[in-house]
Amino acid sequence: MSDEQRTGSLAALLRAYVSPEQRAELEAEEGFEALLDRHVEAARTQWPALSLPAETFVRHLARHLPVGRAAEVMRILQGPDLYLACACTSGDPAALKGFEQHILRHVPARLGKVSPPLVEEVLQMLRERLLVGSSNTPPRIASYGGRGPLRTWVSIIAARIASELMGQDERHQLVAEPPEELARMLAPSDPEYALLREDARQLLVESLRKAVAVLSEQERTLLRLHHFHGFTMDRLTLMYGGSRSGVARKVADAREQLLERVRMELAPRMKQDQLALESLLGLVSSRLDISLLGLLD
Amino acid sequence: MQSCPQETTLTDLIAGLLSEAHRAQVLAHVETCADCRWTLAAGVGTQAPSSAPTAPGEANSQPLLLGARLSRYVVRECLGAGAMGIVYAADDLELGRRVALKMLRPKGSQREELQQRLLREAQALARLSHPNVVTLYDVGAYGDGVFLTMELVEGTTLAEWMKEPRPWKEVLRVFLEAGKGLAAAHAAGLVHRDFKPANALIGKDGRVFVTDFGIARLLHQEEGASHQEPMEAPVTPTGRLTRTGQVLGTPAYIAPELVRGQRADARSDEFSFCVALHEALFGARPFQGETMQELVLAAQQGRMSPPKREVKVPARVRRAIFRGLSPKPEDRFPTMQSLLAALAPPPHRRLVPLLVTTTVAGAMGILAAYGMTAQRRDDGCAREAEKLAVAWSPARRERVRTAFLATGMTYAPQAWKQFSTVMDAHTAQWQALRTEACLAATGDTADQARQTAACLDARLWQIAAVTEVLEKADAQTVQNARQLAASLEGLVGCRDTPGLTSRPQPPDNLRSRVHAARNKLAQVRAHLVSHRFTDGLAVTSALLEEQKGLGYKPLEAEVFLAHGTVLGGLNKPKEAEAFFYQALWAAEAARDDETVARAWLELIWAVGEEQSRPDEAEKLIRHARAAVERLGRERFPDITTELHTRLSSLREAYGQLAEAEQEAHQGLEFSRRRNPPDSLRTPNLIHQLGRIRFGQGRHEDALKLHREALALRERILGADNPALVTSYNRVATASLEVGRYAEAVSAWRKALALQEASSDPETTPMGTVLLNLAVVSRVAGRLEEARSMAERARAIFERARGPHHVTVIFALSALADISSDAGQGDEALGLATEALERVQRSLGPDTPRAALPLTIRGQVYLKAGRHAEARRDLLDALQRLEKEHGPEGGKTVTVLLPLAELALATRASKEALAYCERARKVTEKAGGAESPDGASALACAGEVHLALGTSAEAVPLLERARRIQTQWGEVKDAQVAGKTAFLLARALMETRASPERARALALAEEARTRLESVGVRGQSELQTVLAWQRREVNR
Repeated sequence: MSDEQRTGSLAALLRAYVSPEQRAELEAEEGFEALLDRHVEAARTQWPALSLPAETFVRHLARHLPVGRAAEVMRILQGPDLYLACACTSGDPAALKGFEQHILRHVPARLGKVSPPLVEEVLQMLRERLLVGSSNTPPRIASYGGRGPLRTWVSIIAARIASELMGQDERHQLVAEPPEELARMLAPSDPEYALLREDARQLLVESLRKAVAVLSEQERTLLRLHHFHGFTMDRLTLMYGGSRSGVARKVADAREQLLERVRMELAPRMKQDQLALESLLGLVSSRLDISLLGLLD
Repeated sequence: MQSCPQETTLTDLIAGLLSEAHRAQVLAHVETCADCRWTLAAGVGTQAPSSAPTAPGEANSQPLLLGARLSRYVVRECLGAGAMGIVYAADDLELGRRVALKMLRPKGSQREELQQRLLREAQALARLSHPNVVTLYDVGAYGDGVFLTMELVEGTTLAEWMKEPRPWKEVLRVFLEAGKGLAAAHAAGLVHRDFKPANALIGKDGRVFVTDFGIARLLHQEEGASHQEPMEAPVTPTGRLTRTGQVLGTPAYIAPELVRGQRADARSDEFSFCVALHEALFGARPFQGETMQELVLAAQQGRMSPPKREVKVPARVRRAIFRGLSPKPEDRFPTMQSLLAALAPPPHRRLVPLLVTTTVAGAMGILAAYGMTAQRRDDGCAREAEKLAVAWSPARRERVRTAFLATGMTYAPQAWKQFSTVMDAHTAQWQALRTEACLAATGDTADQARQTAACLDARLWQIAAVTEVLEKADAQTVQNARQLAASLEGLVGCRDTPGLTSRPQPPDNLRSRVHAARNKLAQVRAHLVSHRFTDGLAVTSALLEEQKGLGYKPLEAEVFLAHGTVLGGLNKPKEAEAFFYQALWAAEAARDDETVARAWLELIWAVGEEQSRPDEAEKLIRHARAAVERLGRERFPDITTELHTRLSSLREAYGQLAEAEQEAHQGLEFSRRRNPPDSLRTPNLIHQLGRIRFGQGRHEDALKLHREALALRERILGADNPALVTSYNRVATASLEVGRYAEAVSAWRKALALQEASSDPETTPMGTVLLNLAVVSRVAGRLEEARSMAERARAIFERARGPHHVTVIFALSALADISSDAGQGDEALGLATEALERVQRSLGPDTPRAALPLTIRGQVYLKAGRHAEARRDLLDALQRLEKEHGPEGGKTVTVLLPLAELALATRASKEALAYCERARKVTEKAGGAESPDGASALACAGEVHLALGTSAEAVPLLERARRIQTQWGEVKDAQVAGKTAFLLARALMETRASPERARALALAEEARTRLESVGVRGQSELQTVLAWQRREVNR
């Protein structure tokens, strides 16, 4: 089969499987045939051992092109991931092995603090839930649409399963974003922080807690996602829309506000508590600023 | 909150694929949902690997910060760094113990796989328990690394130890111990693979531990050529020796067959062990080589270097070492055991092998049994841990919560939150320790594990008793929830020293009945803590009957003691006394030293303090001291602390303040050292010391101590706990004495608010607070308010303590003061006389406690111009105070000043001056020169000088008095301050210096304002001021 022929046939296959509206959308997209070829090519390069008929994959893809956004999805499609998911749907042992090594192996690290035995359990349930179908329903992995990395999609399911398996308290602890942590994240390796007296630390944490409470939900979430969960500015831009500089400014503003609030909280307390807090306030106003700026890429 | 978005929605959010409207909706949810934020972080893979202080992804490259938290561990101290990683001392928050935490940083491409293997391997190692092996507690992942927590051995490494030449016998002893550790591991199927002097530790007690089984190999293998099994992976020996540490661990100790790629077994450990032993004995390793090749070649050919130092080592030892160093594994001893037997000293030679063999056979038998029944045992242990449900099942937790909230008290939600947090943590710790004890109930620590289990089960009754009481919580119980939670005994003691912690255990046939009774006793304890004495009495009365047929003496003693304690709580010290003696005799018969000591302590209180029988008390004290001595001061910190507390309190009650102080100091030092930081015993002793200081007239010290006690109690009990009333009251009283008037009033108001909000406001601490606030109101001239509060206090005291109690005397005296201020002289006289008669009736005609009503009556007489009667009463009061506190006791000031006033009124100026001077000396000696009393003494002298016409001398005295009185802004007593201002105005005017005239007029004006502010109280003085003003202004 020559390349020329295949190009034509893949696009033809896809056209045959999509609805008339989707077809119109795809036709309007310039170079959609080549795009399709590139996806298939990339998938086959990454998964040479999989024996997935092109027709099966294209039919699978057709199911995941949403009406109205078919062309957009084609552009950002995670071809190799969708290809693997499709092969897993059919129960191909090589695909299952690939899924194990390429996807599942990375899940434990992404679950962070979840205990190793629980992670094992999560992995087991992931396998059951994603890879096993019944006589009339395909395995759930078939519902993966290739719109984001498969690893992301699986990890999110894994996180949900982990939450289900945990007790309420345990889960609460796991997902907690305590201000102590924020305080430490804000000043990661500051020796002065290590030297702070316990009561001063408490005070700092308390002030942070109050300061965080005053921020708007959005500001709070941005700070948490960025500083606590490590989301990059690029990622936040994707999630929140708008320009990168716009999001970066929002985060920076929230941080400024937070610091201002902490300062306001601390200043009167220092008079009252007669604690040796000078260094603490210094820490907040100068060092913390620096470390924050460092984190704001 | 709407339900969480589906995985595809979240994936699309991360990829930026949601429509504008949908995005806004999902983000709005994410903002309110921590679960979703965490899930998103898992999705993008930026999840912080643990609550690390470092940014994600950097966890590996930096050392841990002190205070960093990994799983349930908090890093405290860096102990050292090795080739494999850094070792820290860390606290295990869950089990409350200090552990060594080793952070491993595997390098290489297949980190993740390696990490998994390390985890698996380490989990297997965690099962190995032997006195000569460092116990591995826990393994966890941290970022790309792995951390291990293990037994913290304080001491040094064998490598350090070997740096000095040691006697060969000592070397041999140490190595035989290490060898036993290796042998035990071999018996469990584990091979060390990297035994070397750096991997053995010598504890401070001389015990030897082998550590790091198998782990080094996993790490280094990764850095070598292969991550397959070593069998298939011949390592090409290359590089200089100084650098080869990176290639293959420590090649000097490694058996030649491992270099050839063969699988490690017991005999390769034997080889490493012999290399190290050779080095320790002779000062040099047996094989030498410049490069890896040379070294390996020497070992393979068995070419040994001559010893560096000539040591007289028995031939059998040399022979054994040489055989252990054979190049071929099959030429060495077949097992570590046989090597150790060959090394062991001759007198034991026949004995030791036998011994060793049986131990190992025993261990193997147990290990085999463990292997077979491990699953069953795990299940069984899970069931054991499930017993917790009797104390803190979700259902009971919910019932307790409902009961808390149903009280409707304002602090109930807060109290519930605190209590549930403490209980959740406490019970989780119980489960962890109980499971651990159950799993360890085999092997050579079985006995201890069983004791631990029994001890923990007893603690569980306590927990159950507390929760049972709280299930029926009323307002008062909720109020005491913190104390109840704090009364739960620590669990860690059960593991560390179960033999010392548990009560005598009954024979099997009585077990269930004794357990049932002890369970009820735990309930009594809970009742006692929450002051539900009647409920407690019902339980102990029933128990008295129930245990009769049992004939188990230790229990009998426990029941008598509990019954007596409850009676004591109900204010029946005489009845209680009888039961304490019963408890004592039963405990003596049972040789139960703990209960004996507790009974003596209770008797000190019941006989010495409550029934005031001093002669008997002295004997009881000796018995109690001896009992605690016999028990061991350090063994039961609560008993030892209690001894000091009781004795201090008794001495204080007897007025022996120096002895009381000494006891309090000793107790405090002990309590700080031995009781947990959240123990109420420490603040209680600080409080006690504060009372003593106050009694000594050292008010600044007293204030400091009471503030400290208050802060500690507040931390332990919560800020809104009515139990703080006593502390606030004490802080206020001491504040007042040092002139911090505003602080005093605010502390009392706080105390009043706390008590009013509590379930039963009409308690004796409330009476005290009311009485003190009555004094404040009186001084401020609000006499009706003062009277109503004092009356309420008097009613509380009379109801709680009978009509003759000293607190009632205080209330009557305060009422007399109020009447006197109000100008109701006859009524005041009646009240003071009433107080005097009552106190003499209850405490005898010569009691020093009569000084207060006598002083007040004397002042009333003075005011009425009945100078002879005033003189008689005041001198009587002075005599009593001198007798109790000595002629220079701080309290005498309160009588010396009215005596000076009396002398002045009778124109005996010289005598007046003498009294004033004496008052000044007394206040200075008590450290209160700057106190209100000190100011009054100065004003007193100033007034006399003014009367004598030596106004130049009066001025500096009055200036100083005024400065003290006004130093805190608001004055304590506007009448007194007004009077001083007026005296100063007069003195200044009389010095005739013209610049002082304006100031004198201003001061008089100030005096007028102050005196007007206190209404009827300041009337007579005010009239004098107004008259003076009219005269001077018009001049």
